[in-house]
Amino acid sequence: MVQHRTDYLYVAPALLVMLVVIGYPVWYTIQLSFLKTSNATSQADQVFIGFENYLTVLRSSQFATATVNTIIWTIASTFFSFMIGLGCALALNRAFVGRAVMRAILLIPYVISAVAASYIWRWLYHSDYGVIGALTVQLGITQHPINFLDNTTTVLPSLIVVNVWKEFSFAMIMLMAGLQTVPDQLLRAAQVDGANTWQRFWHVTFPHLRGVTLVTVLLLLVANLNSFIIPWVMTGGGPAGSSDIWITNIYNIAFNRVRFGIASAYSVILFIVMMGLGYFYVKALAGKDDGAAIE
Amino acid sequence: MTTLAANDAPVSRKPIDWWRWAGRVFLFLMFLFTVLPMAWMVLTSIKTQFATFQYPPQWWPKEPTLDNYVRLLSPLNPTGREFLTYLWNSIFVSICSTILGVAVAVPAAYAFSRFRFPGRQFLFFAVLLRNMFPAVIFLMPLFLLMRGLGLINNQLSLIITYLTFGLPLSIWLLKGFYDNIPVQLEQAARIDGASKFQAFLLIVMPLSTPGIIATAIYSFILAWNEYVFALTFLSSKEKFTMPIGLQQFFTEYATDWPGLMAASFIMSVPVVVMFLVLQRYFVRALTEGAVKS
Repeated sequence: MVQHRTDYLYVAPALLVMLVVIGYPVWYTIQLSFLKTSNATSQADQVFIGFENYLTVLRSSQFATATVNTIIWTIASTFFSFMIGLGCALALNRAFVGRAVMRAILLIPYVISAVAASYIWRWLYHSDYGVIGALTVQLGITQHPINFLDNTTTVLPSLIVVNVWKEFSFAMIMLMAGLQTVPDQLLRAAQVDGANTWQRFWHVTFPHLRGVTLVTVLLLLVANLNSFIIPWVMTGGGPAGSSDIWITNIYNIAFNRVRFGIASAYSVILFIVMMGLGYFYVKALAGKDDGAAIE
Repeated sequence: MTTLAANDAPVSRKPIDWWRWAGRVFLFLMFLFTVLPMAWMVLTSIKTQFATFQYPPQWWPKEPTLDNYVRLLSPLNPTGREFLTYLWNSIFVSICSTILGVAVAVPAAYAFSRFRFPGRQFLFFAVLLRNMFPAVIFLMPLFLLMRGLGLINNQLSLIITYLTFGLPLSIWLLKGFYDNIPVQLEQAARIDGASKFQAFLLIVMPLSTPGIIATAIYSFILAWNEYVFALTFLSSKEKFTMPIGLQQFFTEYATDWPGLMAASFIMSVPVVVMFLVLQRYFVRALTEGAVKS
Protein backbone atom coordinates (compact mmCIF):
# COMPACT_ATOMS: atom_id res chain seq x y z
CA MET A 1 0.00 0.00 0.00
CA VAL A 2 2.91 2.31 0.71
CA GLN A 3 4.14 1.49 -2.80
CA HIS A 4 0.88 2.75 -4.25
CA ARG A 5 1.36 6.23 -2.96
CA THR A 6 4.43 6.85 -5.12
CA ASP A 7 2.67 5.26 -8.08
CA TYR A 8 0.08 8.00 -8.00
CA LEU A 9 2.86 10.55 -8.53
CA TYR A 10 3.18 9.41 -12.13
CA VAL A 11 -0.47 10.07 -12.83
CA ALA A 12 -0.74 13.18 -10.69
CA PRO A 13 0.27 15.79 -13.31
CA ALA A 14 -2.12 14.36 -15.89
CA LEU A 15 -4.90 14.20 -13.33
CA LEU A 16 -4.29 17.71 -12.10
CA VAL A 17 -4.34 19.22 -15.57
CA MET A 18 -7.45 17.32 -16.52
CA LEU A 19 -9.21 18.19 -13.29
CA VAL A 20 -8.64 21.89 -13.93
CA VAL A 21 -9.33 21.89 -17.65
CA ILE A 22 -12.00 19.18 -17.79
CA GLY A 23 -13.51 18.46 -14.39
CA TYR A 24 -14.01 22.05 -13.36
CA PRO A 25 -15.61 23.17 -16.64
CA VAL A 26 -18.12 20.33 -16.63
CA TRP A 27 -19.13 21.12 -13.08
CA TYR A 28 -19.29 24.84 -13.79
CA THR A 29 -21.36 24.35 -16.94
CA ILE A 30 -23.91 22.34 -15.02
CA GLN A 31 -24.00 25.06 -12.37
CA LEU A 32 -24.38 27.84 -14.93
CA SER A 33 -27.23 26.03 -16.62
CA PHE A 34 -29.43 26.66 -13.57
CA LEU A 35 -28.56 30.35 -13.29
CA LYS A 36 -29.92 33.43 -14.91
CA THR A 37 -26.87 35.20 -16.30
CA SER A 38 -27.87 38.62 -17.51
CA ASN A 39 -24.49 39.15 -19.12
CA ALA A 40 -21.06 37.67 -18.88
CA THR A 41 -19.32 40.52 -17.12
CA SER A 42 -21.28 40.61 -13.86
CA GLN A 43 -21.17 37.29 -12.12
CA ALA A 44 -22.65 38.76 -8.95
CA ASP A 45 -26.25 39.04 -10.05
CA GLN A 46 -26.67 35.44 -11.12
CA VAL A 47 -29.97 34.10 -9.88
CA PHE A 48 -30.98 30.47 -9.46
CA ILE A 49 -33.90 29.82 -11.77
CA GLY A 50 -34.19 26.03 -11.79
CA PHE A 51 -34.88 24.46 -15.15
CA GLU A 52 -35.93 27.73 -16.77
CA ASN A 53 -32.93 27.74 -19.13
CA TYR A 54 -33.64 24.20 -20.23
CA LEU A 55 -37.23 25.10 -21.03
CA THR A 56 -36.08 28.16 -22.98
CA VAL A 57 -33.80 25.98 -25.08
CA LEU A 58 -36.30 23.21 -25.67
CA ARG A 59 -39.06 25.64 -26.60
CA SER A 60 -37.05 27.71 -29.06
CA SER A 61 -37.66 27.17 -32.75
CA GLN A 62 -33.91 27.42 -33.36
CA PHE A 63 -33.44 24.34 -31.25
CA ALA A 64 -35.93 22.39 -33.35
CA THR A 65 -34.23 23.40 -36.62
CA ALA A 66 -30.78 22.77 -35.23
CA THR A 67 -31.81 19.35 -33.94
CA VAL A 68 -33.08 18.25 -37.35
CA ASN A 69 -29.91 19.63 -38.98
CA THR A 70 -27.70 17.96 -36.38
CA ILE A 71 -29.34 14.59 -36.97
CA ILE A 72 -29.02 14.89 -40.76
CA TRP A 73 -25.46 16.18 -40.49
CA THR A 74 -24.30 13.53 -38.05
CA ILE A 75 -25.94 10.52 -39.65
CA ALA A 76 -25.23 11.44 -43.28
CA SER A 77 -21.59 12.36 -42.57
CA THR A 78 -21.03 9.19 -40.57
CA PHE A 79 -22.75 6.95 -43.11
CA PHE A 80 -20.94 8.27 -46.18
CA SER A 81 -17.55 8.53 -44.45
CA PHE A 82 -17.87 4.98 -43.28
CA MET A 83 -19.04 3.51 -46.59
CA ILE A 84 -16.41 5.35 -48.64
CA GLY A 85 -13.79 4.47 -46.05
CA LEU A 86 -14.79 0.81 -46.21
CA GLY A 87 -14.68 0.82 -50.03
CA CYS A 88 -11.21 2.34 -50.05
CA ALA A 89 -9.96 0.00 -47.31
CA LEU A 90 -11.14 -3.06 -49.24
CA ALA A 91 -9.67 -1.77 -52.51
CA LEU A 92 -6.37 -0.97 -50.77
CA ASN A 93 -6.27 -4.33 -49.06
CA ARG A 94 -4.91 -5.91 -52.25
CA ALA A 95 -1.26 -5.46 -53.02
CA PHE A 96 -0.53 -3.24 -56.02
CA VAL A 97 2.14 -0.81 -57.10
CA GLY A 98 1.71 2.57 -55.45
CA ARG A 99 -0.55 1.33 -52.70
CA ALA A 100 1.35 3.10 -49.91
CA VAL A 101 1.40 6.34 -51.92
CA MET A 102 -2.33 6.10 -52.53
CA ARG A 103 -3.04 5.56 -48.86
CA ALA A 104 -0.89 8.53 -47.90
CA ILE A 105 -2.59 10.82 -50.43
CA LEU A 106 -6.07 9.83 -49.32
CA LEU A 107 -5.08 10.63 -45.74
CA ILE A 108 -3.96 14.18 -46.45
CA PRO A 109 -7.40 15.81 -46.04
CA TYR A 110 -7.63 14.20 -42.63
CA VAL A 111 -4.39 15.78 -41.38
CA ILE A 112 -4.73 19.29 -42.81
CA SER A 113 -6.53 21.84 -40.72
CA ALA A 114 -10.31 21.97 -40.96
CA VAL A 115 -10.01 25.73 -41.32
CA ALA A 116 -7.89 25.40 -44.47
CA ALA A 117 -10.29 22.74 -45.78
CA SER A 118 -13.25 25.03 -45.17
CA TYR A 119 -11.63 27.91 -47.05
CA ILE A 120 -10.64 25.65 -49.96
CA TRP A 121 -14.20 24.43 -50.31
CA ARG A 122 -15.67 27.86 -49.85
CA TRP A 123 -13.63 28.89 -52.85
CA LEU A 124 -14.68 25.80 -54.82
CA TYR A 125 -18.33 26.55 -54.02
CA HIS A 126 -18.03 30.30 -54.69
CA SER A 127 -21.28 31.58 -56.19
CA ASP A 128 -19.66 33.55 -59.04
CA TYR A 129 -16.14 32.27 -59.54
CA GLY A 130 -16.37 28.82 -57.97
CA VAL A 131 -14.86 26.04 -60.03
CA ILE A 132 -17.68 23.57 -59.31
CA GLY A 133 -20.33 25.99 -60.51
CA ALA A 134 -18.29 26.73 -63.63
CA LEU A 135 -17.81 23.03 -64.32
CA THR A 136 -21.50 22.18 -64.09
CA VAL A 137 -22.29 24.97 -66.57
CA GLN A 138 -19.50 24.01 -68.97
CA LEU A 139 -20.60 20.39 -68.95
CA GLY A 140 -24.17 21.50 -69.61
CA ILE A 141 -25.59 20.13 -66.35
CA THR A 142 -27.00 23.45 -65.20
CA GLN A 143 -27.76 26.78 -66.87
CA HIS A 144 -26.24 28.95 -64.18
CA PRO A 145 -23.66 28.24 -61.51
CA ILE A 146 -25.38 26.74 -58.48
CA ASN A 147 -25.22 28.93 -55.43
CA PHE A 148 -24.32 26.11 -53.08
CA LEU A 149 -23.82 27.94 -49.81
CA ASP A 150 -26.47 30.68 -50.01
CA ASN A 151 -29.36 28.39 -50.72
CA THR A 152 -31.29 26.85 -47.83
CA THR A 153 -31.76 23.51 -49.59
CA THR A 154 -28.22 22.94 -50.91
CA VAL A 155 -26.19 24.30 -48.02
CA LEU A 156 -26.36 21.32 -45.65
CA PRO A 157 -25.58 18.66 -48.30
CA SER A 158 -22.70 20.85 -49.53
CA LEU A 159 -21.25 21.02 -46.04
CA ILE A 160 -21.67 17.28 -45.58
CA VAL A 161 -19.59 16.71 -48.74
CA VAL A 162 -16.77 18.77 -47.21
CA ASN A 163 -17.03 16.88 -43.96
CA VAL A 164 -16.92 13.52 -45.74
CA TRP A 165 -13.95 14.72 -47.80
CA LYS A 166 -12.17 15.57 -44.57
CA GLU A 167 -12.85 12.45 -42.56
CA PHE A 168 -13.55 9.42 -44.76
CA SER A 169 -9.88 8.44 -44.67
CA PHE A 170 -10.11 8.12 -40.90
CA ALA A 171 -12.65 5.33 -41.38
CA MET A 172 -10.37 3.99 -44.11
CA ILE A 173 -7.28 3.51 -41.95
CA MET A 174 -9.26 2.15 -39.04
CA LEU A 175 -10.81 -0.45 -41.33
CA MET A 176 -7.49 -1.17 -43.04
CA ALA A 177 -6.06 -1.98 -39.64
CA GLY A 178 -9.10 -4.12 -38.99
CA LEU A 179 -8.66 -6.00 -42.27
CA GLN A 180 -5.19 -7.06 -41.12
CA THR A 181 -6.84 -9.17 -38.43
CA VAL A 182 -8.86 -11.23 -40.94
CA PRO A 183 -7.05 -14.57 -41.20
CA ASP A 184 -5.90 -15.35 -44.74
CA GLN A 185 -6.45 -19.08 -44.27
CA LEU A 186 -10.14 -18.54 -43.64
CA LEU A 187 -10.53 -16.50 -46.82
CA ARG A 188 -8.65 -19.10 -48.82
CA ALA A 189 -10.67 -21.92 -47.28
CA ALA A 190 -13.88 -20.12 -48.22
CA GLN A 191 -12.57 -19.68 -51.75
CA VAL A 192 -11.74 -23.36 -52.05
CA ASP A 193 -15.26 -24.15 -50.83
CA GLY A 194 -16.59 -22.12 -53.74
CA ALA A 195 -17.62 -18.88 -51.99
CA ASN A 196 -17.64 -15.92 -54.38
CA THR A 197 -16.14 -12.52 -53.59
CA TRP A 198 -19.31 -11.13 -52.06
CA GLN A 199 -19.90 -14.23 -49.93
CA ARG A 200 -16.31 -14.14 -48.73
CA PHE A 201 -16.73 -10.51 -47.72
CA TRP A 202 -20.08 -10.96 -46.04
CA HIS A 203 -19.42 -14.24 -44.23
CA VAL A 204 -15.71 -14.06 -43.46
CA THR A 205 -14.35 -10.51 -43.66
CA PHE A 206 -17.24 -8.51 -42.29
CA PRO A 207 -17.79 -10.54 -39.09
CA HIS A 208 -14.12 -9.98 -38.29
CA LEU A 209 -14.55 -6.25 -38.74
CA ARG A 210 -17.47 -5.97 -36.34
CA GLY A 211 -15.43 -4.65 -33.43
CA VAL A 212 -13.55 -2.09 -35.51
CA THR A 213 -16.75 -1.05 -37.24
CA LEU A 214 -18.44 -0.39 -33.94
CA VAL A 215 -15.59 1.73 -32.62
CA THR A 216 -15.13 3.60 -35.91
CA VAL A 217 -18.82 4.42 -36.26
CA LEU A 218 -18.98 5.61 -32.67
CA LEU A 219 -15.89 7.79 -33.05
CA LEU A 220 -17.29 9.26 -36.27
CA LEU A 221 -20.65 9.94 -34.63
CA VAL A 222 -18.95 11.70 -31.74
CA ALA A 223 -16.66 13.71 -34.02
CA ASN A 224 -19.59 14.79 -36.20
CA LEU A 225 -21.78 15.73 -33.26
CA ASN A 226 -18.88 17.84 -32.02
CA SER A 227 -17.84 19.38 -35.30
CA PHE A 228 -17.85 23.12 -35.35
CA ILE A 229 -15.22 24.43 -37.72
CA ILE A 230 -16.69 23.43 -41.10
CA PRO A 231 -20.19 24.87 -40.58
CA TRP A 232 -18.84 27.84 -38.66
CA VAL A 233 -16.15 28.91 -41.11
CA MET A 234 -18.14 28.12 -44.23
CA THR A 235 -21.57 29.50 -43.41
CA GLY A 236 -21.74 30.46 -39.74
CA GLY A 237 -24.95 28.40 -39.55
CA GLY A 238 -26.66 30.40 -42.28
CA PRO A 239 -28.48 31.18 -44.44
CA ALA A 240 -31.42 31.64 -42.06
CA GLY A 241 -30.17 28.92 -39.72
CA SER A 242 -30.42 26.25 -42.43
CA SER A 243 -26.95 24.90 -41.64
CA ASP A 244 -27.10 25.60 -37.92
CA ILE A 245 -26.25 22.54 -35.86
CA TRP A 246 -26.25 22.26 -32.06
CA ILE A 247 -22.65 23.30 -31.62
CA THR A 248 -22.81 26.40 -33.82
CA ASN A 249 -26.10 27.31 -32.19
CA ILE A 250 -24.57 27.03 -28.71
CA TYR A 251 -21.58 29.10 -29.76
CA ASN A 252 -23.85 31.82 -31.10
CA ILE A 253 -25.94 31.92 -27.95
CA ALA A 254 -22.89 32.01 -25.71
CA PHE A 255 -20.50 34.33 -27.47
CA ASN A 256 -22.62 36.47 -29.77
CA ARG A 257 -25.72 36.86 -27.64
CA VAL A 258 -23.78 36.40 -24.37
CA ARG A 259 -26.40 34.16 -22.74
CA PHE A 260 -24.11 31.83 -20.85
CA GLY A 261 -26.91 30.32 -18.78
CA ILE A 262 -28.99 29.25 -21.75
CA ALA A 263 -25.95 28.10 -23.67
CA SER A 264 -24.89 26.01 -20.67
CA ALA A 265 -28.28 24.33 -20.44
CA TYR A 266 -27.97 23.61 -24.16
CA SER A 267 -24.50 22.15 -23.61
CA VAL A 268 -25.75 19.92 -20.82
CA ILE A 269 -28.41 18.51 -23.17
CA LEU A 270 -25.67 17.81 -25.70
CA PHE A 271 -23.54 16.37 -22.93
CA ILE A 272 -26.27 13.90 -21.97
CA VAL A 273 -26.51 12.70 -25.57
CA MET A 274 -22.72 12.30 -25.66
CA MET A 275 -22.73 10.34 -22.42
CA GLY A 276 -25.20 7.95 -24.00
CA LEU A 277 -22.81 7.40 -26.87
CA GLY A 278 -19.88 7.25 -24.44
CA TYR A 279 -21.57 4.41 -22.62
CA PHE A 280 -21.70 2.39 -25.84
CA TYR A 281 -18.11 3.34 -26.65
CA VAL A 282 -16.79 2.01 -23.36
CA LYS A 283 -18.96 -1.07 -23.71
CA ALA A 284 -17.63 -1.65 -27.22
CA LEU A 285 -14.02 -1.36 -26.02
CA ALA A 286 -14.65 -3.56 -23.00
CA GLY A 287 -16.53 -6.10 -25.12
CA LYS A 288 -13.57 -6.34 -27.47
CA ASP A 289 -11.26 -7.13 -24.58
CA ASP A 290 -13.49 -10.02 -23.58
CA GLY A 291 -13.53 -11.25 -27.16
CA ALA A 292 -9.75 -11.24 -27.31
CA ALA A 293 -9.54 -13.15 -24.05
CA ILE A 294 -11.82 -15.87 -25.33
CA GLU A 295 -9.97 -16.37 -28.59
CA MET B 1 -3.47 -35.86 -61.20
CA THR B 2 -4.65 -34.14 -64.33
CA THR B 3 -8.24 -33.88 -63.13
CA LEU B 4 -7.07 -32.32 -59.90
CA ALA B 5 -5.14 -29.64 -61.72
CA ALA B 6 -8.08 -28.98 -63.99
CA ASN B 7 -10.34 -28.53 -60.98
CA ASP B 8 -7.97 -26.11 -59.36
CA ALA B 9 -7.62 -23.84 -62.34
CA PRO B 10 -11.03 -22.09 -62.34
CA VAL B 11 -10.82 -21.40 -58.62
CA SER B 12 -7.50 -19.61 -58.51
CA ARG B 13 -7.67 -18.01 -61.95
CA LYS B 14 -10.83 -16.24 -62.99
CA PRO B 15 -11.32 -14.65 -66.42
CA ILE B 16 -12.03 -11.10 -65.20
CA ASP B 17 -12.27 -10.17 -61.58
CA TRP B 18 -15.03 -7.53 -61.68
CA TRP B 19 -14.72 -6.77 -58.01
CA ARG B 20 -11.07 -5.93 -58.42
CA TRP B 21 -11.87 -3.58 -61.29
CA ALA B 22 -14.74 -2.02 -59.39
CA GLY B 23 -12.31 -1.47 -56.51
CA ARG B 24 -9.76 0.17 -58.77
CA VAL B 25 -12.30 2.47 -60.39
CA PHE B 26 -13.71 3.43 -57.01
CA LEU B 27 -10.24 4.10 -55.66
CA PHE B 28 -9.42 6.25 -58.65
CA LEU B 29 -12.61 8.31 -58.20
CA MET B 30 -11.83 8.81 -54.53
CA PHE B 31 -8.31 9.81 -55.48
CA LEU B 32 -9.74 12.54 -57.73
CA PHE B 33 -12.20 13.60 -55.04
CA THR B 34 -9.30 13.94 -52.59
CA VAL B 35 -6.75 15.56 -54.83
CA LEU B 36 -8.70 17.96 -57.05
CA PRO B 37 -9.76 20.40 -54.30
CA MET B 38 -6.16 20.58 -53.09
CA ALA B 39 -4.87 20.99 -56.62
CA TRP B 40 -7.29 23.87 -57.12
CA MET B 41 -5.97 25.48 -53.95
CA VAL B 42 -2.42 25.33 -55.31
CA LEU B 43 -3.45 26.55 -58.77
CA THR B 44 -5.38 29.47 -57.29
CA SER B 45 -2.47 30.40 -55.07
CA ILE B 46 -0.24 30.97 -58.11
CA LYS B 47 -2.76 33.15 -59.93
CA THR B 48 -3.00 36.89 -59.84
CA GLN B 49 -5.94 38.49 -58.09
CA PHE B 50 -7.24 39.49 -61.51
CA ALA B 51 -7.03 35.97 -62.90
CA THR B 52 -9.07 34.47 -60.05
CA PHE B 53 -12.03 36.74 -60.80
CA GLN B 54 -12.64 35.47 -64.29
CA TYR B 55 -15.49 33.48 -65.64
CA PRO B 56 -15.09 30.85 -66.96
CA PRO B 57 -12.08 30.27 -64.72
CA GLN B 58 -8.57 29.87 -66.10
CA TRP B 59 -8.15 26.13 -65.67
CA TRP B 60 -4.42 26.58 -65.82
CA PRO B 61 -3.02 29.96 -64.74
CA LYS B 62 -1.98 31.97 -67.80
CA GLU B 63 0.64 33.88 -65.88
CA PRO B 64 1.72 31.73 -62.96
CA THR B 65 3.24 33.84 -60.24
CA LEU B 66 4.71 33.31 -56.79
CA ASP B 67 3.78 36.85 -55.77
CA ASN B 68 1.20 35.68 -53.27
CA TYR B 69 3.78 33.64 -51.39
CA VAL B 70 6.34 36.41 -51.51
CA ARG B 71 3.78 38.87 -50.20
CA LEU B 72 2.90 36.58 -47.28
CA LEU B 73 6.43 35.68 -46.28
CA SER B 74 8.24 38.97 -46.73
CA PRO B 75 8.59 41.04 -43.57
CA LEU B 76 8.81 44.18 -45.72
CA ASN B 77 5.10 44.73 -46.25
CA PRO B 78 2.23 44.87 -43.71
CA THR B 79 0.49 41.70 -44.96
CA GLY B 80 3.73 39.76 -44.66
CA ARG B 81 4.49 41.10 -41.19
CA GLU B 82 1.00 40.16 -40.03
CA PHE B 83 1.15 36.69 -41.53
CA LEU B 84 4.61 35.99 -40.13
CA THR B 85 3.33 36.93 -36.68
CA TYR B 86 0.51 34.38 -36.99
CA LEU B 87 2.97 31.79 -38.24
CA TRP B 88 5.33 32.39 -35.34
CA ASN B 89 2.46 32.33 -32.83
CA SER B 90 1.26 29.00 -34.20
CA ILE B 91 4.75 27.52 -34.01
CA PHE B 92 5.26 28.80 -30.47
CA VAL B 93 1.93 27.56 -29.13
CA SER B 94 2.16 24.18 -30.85
CA ILE B 95 5.70 23.45 -29.69
CA CYS B 96 5.06 24.50 -26.10
CA SER B 97 1.90 22.43 -25.78
CA THR B 98 3.58 19.45 -27.45
CA ILE B 99 6.55 19.45 -25.07
CA LEU B 100 4.39 19.87 -21.99
CA GLY B 101 1.88 17.31 -23.27
CA VAL B 102 4.52 14.64 -23.74
CA ALA B 103 6.07 15.39 -20.35
CA VAL B 104 2.72 14.84 -18.65
CA ALA B 105 1.56 11.88 -20.76
CA VAL B 106 4.71 9.75 -20.46
CA PRO B 107 4.65 9.11 -16.71
CA ALA B 108 0.87 8.71 -16.69
CA ALA B 109 0.91 6.17 -19.51
CA TYR B 110 3.74 4.29 -17.83
CA ALA B 111 1.81 4.11 -14.59
CA PHE B 112 -1.32 2.89 -16.37
CA SER B 113 0.70 0.21 -18.10
CA ARG B 114 2.74 -1.03 -15.14
CA PHE B 115 1.28 -0.27 -11.75
CA ARG B 116 -1.77 -1.72 -10.17
CA PHE B 117 -3.42 0.85 -7.98
CA PRO B 118 -6.98 1.19 -6.76
CA GLY B 119 -9.16 3.14 -9.14
CA ARG B 120 -6.78 2.53 -12.05
CA GLN B 121 -9.52 1.15 -14.26
CA PHE B 122 -11.83 4.02 -13.48
CA LEU B 123 -9.13 6.60 -14.11
CA PHE B 124 -8.35 5.07 -17.43
CA PHE B 125 -11.90 5.20 -18.66
CA ALA B 126 -12.15 8.75 -17.41
CA VAL B 127 -9.16 9.54 -19.59
CA LEU B 128 -10.80 7.93 -22.60
CA LEU B 129 -14.14 9.57 -22.01
CA ARG B 130 -12.52 12.95 -22.44
CA ASN B 131 -12.57 12.15 -26.16
CA MET B 132 -16.33 12.18 -26.07
CA PHE B 133 -16.87 15.63 -24.64
CA PRO B 134 -17.65 18.43 -27.06
CA ALA B 135 -15.26 21.36 -26.93
CA VAL B 136 -18.15 23.76 -26.44
CA ILE B 137 -18.82 22.34 -22.98
CA PHE B 138 -15.35 23.44 -21.99
CA LEU B 139 -15.45 26.66 -23.89
CA MET B 140 -17.65 28.84 -21.70
CA PRO B 141 -16.35 27.82 -18.27
CA LEU B 142 -12.76 27.86 -19.52
CA PHE B 143 -13.33 31.28 -21.00
CA LEU B 144 -14.60 32.51 -17.64
CA LEU B 145 -11.78 30.71 -15.81
CA MET B 146 -9.12 32.16 -18.07
CA ARG B 147 -10.65 35.58 -17.71
CA GLY B 148 -10.57 35.16 -13.95
CA LEU B 149 -6.90 34.22 -14.17
CA GLY B 150 -6.23 37.15 -16.48
CA LEU B 151 -5.11 34.84 -19.27
CA ILE B 152 -7.55 35.99 -21.92
CA ASN B 153 -5.72 37.14 -25.01
CA ASN B 154 -2.68 35.32 -23.68
CA GLN B 155 -1.25 32.33 -25.47
CA LEU B 156 -0.65 30.55 -22.18
CA SER B 157 -4.38 29.87 -22.00
CA LEU B 158 -4.17 28.06 -25.34
CA ILE B 159 -1.09 26.09 -24.33
CA ILE B 160 -2.80 24.81 -21.18
CA THR B 161 -5.93 23.89 -23.11
CA TYR B 162 -4.15 22.13 -25.98
CA LEU B 163 -2.02 20.24 -23.52
CA THR B 164 -5.10 18.51 -22.16
CA PHE B 165 -6.64 18.04 -25.57
CA GLY B 166 -4.10 15.52 -26.74
CA LEU B 167 -3.65 13.92 -23.34
CA PRO B 168 -6.24 11.11 -23.47
CA LEU B 169 -5.12 9.74 -26.81
CA SER B 170 -1.45 10.35 -26.00
CA ILE B 171 -1.77 8.31 -22.82
CA TRP B 172 -3.72 5.59 -24.60
CA LEU B 173 -1.14 5.36 -27.36
CA LEU B 174 1.91 5.44 -25.10
CA LYS B 175 0.38 2.82 -22.85
CA GLY B 176 0.25 0.54 -25.90
CA PHE B 177 3.99 1.04 -26.40
CA TYR B 178 4.81 0.39 -22.74
CA ASP B 179 2.66 -2.74 -22.75
CA ASN B 180 4.93 -4.13 -25.45
CA ILE B 181 8.14 -3.53 -23.50
CA PRO B 182 8.86 -6.61 -21.37
CA VAL B 183 8.65 -6.03 -17.64
CA GLN B 184 11.59 -8.39 -17.18
CA LEU B 185 13.92 -5.62 -18.39
CA GLU B 186 12.92 -3.43 -15.49
CA GLN B 187 12.96 -6.32 -13.06
CA ALA B 188 16.52 -7.05 -14.09
CA ALA B 189 17.43 -3.42 -13.54
CA ARG B 190 15.73 -3.46 -10.13
CA ILE B 191 17.71 -6.52 -9.13
CA ASP B 192 20.87 -4.70 -10.18
CA GLY B 193 19.94 -2.00 -7.70
CA ALA B 194 18.10 0.59 -9.75
CA SER B 195 15.15 2.31 -8.16
CA LYS B 196 11.69 2.12 -9.70
CA PHE B 197 12.17 5.58 -11.14
CA GLN B 198 15.65 4.84 -12.48
CA ALA B 199 14.35 1.73 -14.20
CA PHE B 200 11.70 3.86 -15.85
CA LEU B 201 14.02 6.67 -16.83
CA LEU B 202 17.03 4.66 -18.02
CA ILE B 203 15.49 1.47 -19.39
CA VAL B 204 11.94 2.09 -20.49
CA MET B 205 12.17 5.67 -21.71
CA PRO B 206 14.82 5.07 -24.40
CA LEU B 207 12.92 2.03 -25.66
CA SER B 208 9.70 3.97 -26.05
CA THR B 209 11.18 6.71 -28.24
CA PRO B 210 9.02 5.80 -31.28
CA GLY B 211 5.92 6.05 -29.14
CA ILE B 212 7.03 9.40 -27.80
CA ILE B 213 7.64 10.68 -31.33
CA ALA B 214 4.21 9.51 -32.45
CA THR B 215 2.61 11.17 -29.46
CA ALA B 216 4.50 14.39 -30.09
CA ILE B 217 3.40 14.59 -33.74
CA TYR B 218 -0.15 13.90 -32.75
CA SER B 219 -0.14 16.69 -30.16
CA PHE B 220 1.58 19.08 -32.53
CA ILE B 221 -0.91 18.59 -35.35
CA LEU B 222 -3.80 18.93 -32.93
CA ALA B 223 -2.48 22.23 -31.60
CA TRP B 224 -1.47 23.52 -35.03
CA ASN B 225 -4.97 22.99 -36.45
CA GLU B 226 -7.00 24.08 -33.45
CA TYR B 227 -9.54 26.82 -34.07
CA VAL B 228 -12.36 27.07 -31.53
CA PHE B 229 -10.38 27.95 -28.43
CA ALA B 230 -8.07 30.29 -30.29
CA LEU B 231 -11.13 32.04 -31.73
CA THR B 232 -12.62 32.49 -28.28
CA PHE B 233 -9.56 33.23 -26.16
CA LEU B 234 -7.60 35.58 -28.40
CA SER B 235 -8.79 39.02 -29.26
CA SER B 236 -5.87 41.04 -30.60
CA LYS B 237 -4.26 40.50 -33.96
CA GLU B 238 -0.70 40.21 -32.72
CA LYS B 239 -1.69 37.17 -30.61
CA PHE B 240 -3.59 35.31 -33.36
CA THR B 241 -2.54 31.85 -34.46
CA MET B 242 -2.80 30.98 -38.14
CA PRO B 243 -6.23 29.32 -38.25
CA ILE B 244 -7.92 32.48 -36.97
CA GLY B 245 -5.45 34.79 -38.68
CA LEU B 246 -6.75 33.64 -42.06
CA GLN B 247 -9.93 35.60 -41.38
CA GLN B 248 -7.95 38.73 -42.14
CA PHE B 249 -8.13 37.90 -45.83
CA PHE B 250 -11.81 38.76 -45.81
CA THR B 251 -12.09 42.50 -45.94
CA GLU B 252 -15.15 44.64 -46.37
CA TYR B 253 -14.50 45.17 -50.05
CA ALA B 254 -13.09 41.99 -51.48
CA THR B 255 -11.70 38.66 -50.50
CA ASP B 256 -8.09 38.02 -51.39
CA TRP B 257 -8.69 34.46 -52.61
CA PRO B 258 -5.22 33.79 -54.07
CA GLY B 259 -3.65 35.09 -50.85
CA LEU B 260 -6.00 32.98 -48.76
CA MET B 261 -5.20 29.87 -50.80
CA ALA B 262 -1.47 30.54 -50.51
CA ALA B 263 -1.86 30.95 -46.75
CA SER B 264 -3.89 27.74 -46.52
CA PHE B 265 -1.16 26.00 -48.45
CA ILE B 266 1.58 27.31 -46.16
CA MET B 267 -0.46 26.27 -43.15
CA SER B 268 -0.93 22.74 -44.51
CA VAL B 269 2.68 22.10 -45.52
CA PRO B 270 4.20 21.42 -42.07
CA VAL B 271 1.51 18.97 -40.99
CA VAL B 272 1.48 17.15 -44.32
CA VAL B 273 5.27 16.84 -44.38
CA MET B 274 5.34 15.68 -40.78
CA PHE B 275 2.59 13.21 -41.52
CA LEU B 276 4.28 11.83 -44.64
CA VAL B 277 7.65 11.41 -42.96
CA LEU B 278 6.24 9.77 -39.87
CA GLN B 279 3.19 8.18 -41.43
CA ARG B 280 3.70 4.81 -39.84
CA TYR B 281 3.57 6.25 -36.33
CA PHE B 282 0.68 8.50 -37.12
CA VAL B 283 -1.47 5.70 -38.49
CA ARG B 284 -0.57 3.66 -35.48
CA ALA B 285 -1.56 6.55 -33.23
CA LEU B 286 -4.99 6.62 -34.77
CA THR B 287 -5.72 2.92 -34.92
CA GLU B 288 -4.06 1.91 -31.67
CA GLY B 289 -6.65 0.82 -29.21
CA ALA B 290 -9.44 0.38 -31.71
CA VAL B 291 -7.72 -2.64 -33.19
CA LYS B 292 -6.11 -5.11 -30.88
CA SER B 293 -2.75 -6.25 -32.11
